[in-house]
Formats: sequence, C-alpha cells, structure tokens
Amino acid sequence: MDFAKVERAELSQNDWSVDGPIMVMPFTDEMSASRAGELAASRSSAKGLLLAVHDDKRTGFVQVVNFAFAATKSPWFGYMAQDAFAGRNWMAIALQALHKNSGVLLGFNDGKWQGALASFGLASRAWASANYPSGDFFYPGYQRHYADAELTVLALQAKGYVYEPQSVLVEVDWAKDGAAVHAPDRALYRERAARGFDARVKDTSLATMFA
Amino acid sequence: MAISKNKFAAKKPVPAKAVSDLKPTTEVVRKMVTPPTDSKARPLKRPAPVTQAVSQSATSQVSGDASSNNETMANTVALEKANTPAVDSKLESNLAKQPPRALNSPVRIFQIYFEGWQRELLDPAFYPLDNSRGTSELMEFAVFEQLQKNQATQGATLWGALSWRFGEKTGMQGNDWVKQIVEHPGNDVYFCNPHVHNEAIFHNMWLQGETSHPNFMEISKAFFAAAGLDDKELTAIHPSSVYSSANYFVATPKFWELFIPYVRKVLVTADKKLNPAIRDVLHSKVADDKGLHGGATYVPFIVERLFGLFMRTEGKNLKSYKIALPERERELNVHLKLLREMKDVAHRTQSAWLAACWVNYRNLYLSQTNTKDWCEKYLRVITPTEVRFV
Repeated sequence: MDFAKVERAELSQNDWSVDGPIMVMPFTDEMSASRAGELAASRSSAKGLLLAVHDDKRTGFVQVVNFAFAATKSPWFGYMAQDAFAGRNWMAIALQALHKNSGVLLGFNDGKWQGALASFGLASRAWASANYPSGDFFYPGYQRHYADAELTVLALQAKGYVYEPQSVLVEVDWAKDGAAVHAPDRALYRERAARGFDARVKDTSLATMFA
Repeated sequence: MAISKNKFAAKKPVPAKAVSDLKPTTEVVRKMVTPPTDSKARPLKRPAPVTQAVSQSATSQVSGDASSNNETMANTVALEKANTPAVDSKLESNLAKQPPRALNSPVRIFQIYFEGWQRELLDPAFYPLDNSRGTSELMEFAVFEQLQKNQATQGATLWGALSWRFGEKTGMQGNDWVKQIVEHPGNDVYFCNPHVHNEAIFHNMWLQGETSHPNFMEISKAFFAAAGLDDKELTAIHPSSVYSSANYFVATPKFWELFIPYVRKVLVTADKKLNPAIRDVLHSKVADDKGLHGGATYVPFIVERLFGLFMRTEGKNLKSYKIALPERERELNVHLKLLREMKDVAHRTQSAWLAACWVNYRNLYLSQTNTKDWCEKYLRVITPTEVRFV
C-alpha cells in the first residue's frame, strides 16, 4: 500500500481513487501516525492506500472517517487509529478472507475484542454506502465510540461479518483499558439499538449485543 | 513507505482491473501470502492445474514473466483505430515469452489475476494468468484478444479466460464448471450469469446498467447510434436465458473468431462516429463514480453487454449453453423467482399484458426493497413506456 499523510482540508482537494482498499487513519499525533502508517503500509502485501488524516480541528474519529469516506473512491474502505500496530501481510490476509467469505465487513485481530467487534475494520464500499440515507460510513451521531459496534451489528445482520485472526492490526494504547466510554455515544447506541438501528436489524440478540 | 502529499496528489487513479461484484467460493485453498521484500520466507509454488492433464512447465510458462515478441506485437498495433484502446503489449509479451508447448488439453481455461494475494484464491482447475501489468481500458476483452493470437490457445477446442473471482461470483469450483461443459458437448460458447437477480428485475442488462453507472442508457444509446446498432435492444424485454455478465465465456475458436472482430468493429465504428463530447465521456471514469470497479470507463460495461446482441445477430448460427449456478439460484427469494418466471412467460408468449403485470409487480418489489431516493432516481428511467420483446 502507499502511505499518504494529509490535512483534513486536503481530502476534498484531490482525487483519491484507488483500485483496492483505502484505510483511513485519523490522527492527532503526527509522529505516532507516521510510525504506525509507514509500518502498516510496508507490511500490507497488497496494493492500496493508507491515508492518515490530521484531525486538526478535533472533530473526532467518526467525523474524520466519514469525511474521508465521502472524499475517496475505492471498492474497499477501512479504518484504523494512529496507535495501530500491523502484523505481516495484514491487508492481503484480510482481502483474501473477505473474498473467500463474501464478506462485507472484516474485523482485524485488534488484540482486544477477539473478533466480537470490528474496532479496526475493512468494509465493502458498496455495502457501507447503502447503510445510512446520508451515505455516511459510520452513523454520524456518534463522536468517539460505538460507531464500530453498530457497523459490526449491521454486518452481522447482513451475514457478512468476517473475522480473520491472522490479519493482525493491534491497538497499542497503554492507558485505554482504564479509559471511560464516551457516555453520550453509549446512550445513543442504546437508543438506536432499541429501535433496531432504524429497523435494519431484526435479530433482537444482535441489536442488544453491545447495549 | 511514506510519500509526500504532493506526490500522491499528482498521482493518477490506478487503472481498472476487474469489472464486477462478489459472492462465495467453496474452494479449499492453502494459506499463502506474499512475504515482504525483507523476509527470508518465500511463498510455496502453486501446483499445476489438475483438471486437464497439463504439465507444470506449461503452467509456469503461461503465468511467466514478461518478455518481448515483436511479431505478435505488430499484430496488436494493427488493431488500434480511433480512440479504441489497444490491447496491452506487456500482457502480450508475458503470454508470448515461451510458447506453452505442453498446453495440449482440448479445453483451456485461464484465470486472470492481478496481485500476489489473489493467487491463493485461484481455482486449481484453471491456468493462472498474471495480468498485473495490464492497463487496457478493455479489461477482460483485451486478454481475450491476446489469448486468441497466442500459442497458448492454438489447437484448443474450447478456451476462455475467467477472473480471479470466479469461485466467489459463481459459487462453483472449476472442476464443476468443466464438468458442465463436458456433459453438454457440441456448443460454441458456454457462459453464465453470476448476477441472477438481474434476470428477475430488469428488462435487460442495458437497463440494469443505468442503476450502476451514471447515465448509462444515454451513453449506450449514443454508442448504438454511432456503431449502427439497433437501439431497440436497449429497452426490449430479454429472456433470462440470454443474461450474461462478468465475461465468463468458454468457447470454440469459431466463436472467438466471430465475437472478437465483432466487438472490435463495433468499438472502432462507434469511436469514429461518436460526438467528441460523448466519446470523451465514454472513455471517462464517470462510469465508475464510486470507484467500485477501479475507475473503469463505460467501454468494458458496454462490451460485456454486447454478447447477447452478438448471439442474436452475427453469432446467430452459433450454439450456446448457459451454465446454471445453483449457489446463486439458492439466493433468490420467492418474489425474484416468481418475477423471473413471469417475465420469461411473457417473453415466450409475447404477451404485452403479462409483461405489464410483471412491470407492476417488479416496481412494487423494488419500491419495497430500495430507498425512496433510489426509486425516485431510477424507477421511471428503467421502465420503458413501450413493451417490446427481443
């Protein structure tokens, strides 16, 4: 994969068309983003683009990913954070798994959720762009948390969620286990889950999975 | 590897590689991925195709690296007219490096791939064909042109080139595909339609294209007029038996000798006579506005739909066999099955009344399964006012 680092404002100024996956990495710490992005790109064993986007206005992970989704063109679109550590061939293995399983969303082995949740994920753009009337990748009401949980539930409902433990993209955040969940995001998730995520999720066990 | 902002901004979008969509493979495959350049590990060599008795050396020659072959390249250049793109010379060189003398099976099916990680998904019944350097706008069709001239297909009674996503799209294994061919001998072309739901909900694949590629009908209509083709094809009701997508053809040399020049002639004629503004759009990436097909132009989407028209016109004396895809058929819900049958009966009996009933039921189905925006955008456009059958 190629690796590019841009300011958020630059996203809409260029043509980001890629015949392969685009992984967006919102970042606030440039050094971390460069280190993580360069390693991940070099270990991907696949063509594509890893796009680190500077969240200079601190709009949050969800908003930056949505903005990047709208500004890019590619058959696959994924998300990761500046603290991600990529295993060898992580993207090649992920693409193989998605194609073998007719997947619409793959959860990487993040060293934390063991596949239950795509905290870092790679999705079919055709599928993702049809999830919300706004065309957003993540439900735009979230700020920091639960957007990935909702996306996972939607993929499970579509029977298109894939977890491939050999595709490693670990979140290296020494302090996160003790960090609190963003309360408004949790409340929004519970509210949306109760309504089956706009009636998209019929299976109640799925709707309440992370609530 | 880091690259500067400016460098990437100036970079042109990567050219298109494959035209179509998804679905599962039942193939059992080994884990093998390409290691990074600094790794001492090397991928295991893929075993030779097993379906037809072909040697390992032949396989490696077909998928070997590029080299030059001036004689074949001269033939390629002679084909280029107007704006119609030439076949890719590097692919041709790749194919021509060493004539695959051990390829002597009567049925030769190649499987095109572009990246190392895709090799693991290839079917062992087919011959791997590395098209990583392919840049032609024509995509699969450019490979067909190359193969037709190449030693690799000489002497074959049937040959074709499928995509690396064959198993995913068809839900079939290569052995089963070959078995279908062997069990139904005597046909000039064997084909299939991996997107079976389209047979139920669209009059034909041209109108289906309108929902996938911006202004597809308008571009196609202009293309037909310029190429001298009858544009009634674009709005008529086609039976499900002629639906085809993804260019999955295995065919006799006789078929290829007719089909390839036909497509080439149509493309060249259209390019010569098209209004320049429309011609620019035809060759633009507007066709793939979401980048789902690697920035493909309208050309490959038109070419893959010409098969049905060809079979009714210049190829009318050729015999065809459509291979059923049980995995895909299983995915059809009861409405889609009924809709397809209804449309086929309307076509068979030439019943305008039943066709109108089908349109009503179809529109009701689409309005229940798509968003309001989608319906407002497409329902009227994909519903011709006149009922006509091919």
